[in-house]
Amino acid sequence: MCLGTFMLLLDITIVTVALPDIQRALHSSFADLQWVVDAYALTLAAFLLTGAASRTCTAAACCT
Amino acid sequence: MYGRRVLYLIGLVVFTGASALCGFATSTLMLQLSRGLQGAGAAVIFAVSLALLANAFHGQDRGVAFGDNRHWRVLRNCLILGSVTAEGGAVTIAVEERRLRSLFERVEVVEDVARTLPEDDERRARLLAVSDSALAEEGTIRPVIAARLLGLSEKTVRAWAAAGVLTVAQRSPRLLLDVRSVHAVSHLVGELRAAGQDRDLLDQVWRRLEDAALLDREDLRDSLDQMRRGEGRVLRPVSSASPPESR
Repeated sequence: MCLGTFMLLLDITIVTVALPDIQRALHSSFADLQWVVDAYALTLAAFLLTGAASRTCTAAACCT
Repeated sequence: MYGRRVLYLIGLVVFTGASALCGFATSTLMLQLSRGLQGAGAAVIFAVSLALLANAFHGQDRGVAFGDNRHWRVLRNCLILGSVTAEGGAVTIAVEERRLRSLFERVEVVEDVARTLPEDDERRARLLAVSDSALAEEGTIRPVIAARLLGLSEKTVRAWAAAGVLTVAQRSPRLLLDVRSVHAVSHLVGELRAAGQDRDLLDQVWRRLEDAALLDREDLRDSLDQMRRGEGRVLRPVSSASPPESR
């Protein structure tokens, strides 16, 4: 579980290292590269609450 | 809806699958979408793992499980700080090295063209002034970048700076070198390496620099010009100019 959390936090930053190679391999523009970095952080932030809420529903049986 | 364990496994599968998709991405859009999916999976894992820990541990154990343990907290902060700094440092060094390498390449193209023109041609001087001002605009360079450009270790570069081969632009708070001197030395090192001479590089570069400085002296250049014009005034060799001291 710790490894999982570590991996998903590492994934936010580790892609920065690969950006030059990604640009070469996929011929991406600068804006594309920004989206590669941000797409992860954005969906992570967006679904964090949804993910938490979906388990609360079962746990506390609070869904109406 | 789902149990926590099942939800955690769903998150793990989504995260792992999306990571694999990222690896196999053939276009930027596919990579971006996979990264988005990865984020969604990560969000589920992140949210549920905390709930699972809270469910499994109680009392003081829960604090330890959440990593609210002083030693672990210090270690974790050091790790995060260290990895972020190292990562950022490596990226900026690579970017700076690439930028300066391309600057050096462009300057060398200009210099090559300039050298094809005769020495008394005004265009030659103008071209060399352009390359010189391009280097002057850059100003200073970090020893670590200079080391990469010269193909030497950072320690060697610092030693050369201390020996005066590379011009020091700033000594504190951190050592910065003059870009023009690094470029001049990169020429010499490249020539010496091409000639297969890799030993005693410092001595040889120093000797060449002294020769170049001698050529820059106006009196020598004048007398060379006069010689070329056939006026026959030869500069006396340095050794006979200053006779050895008698003891």
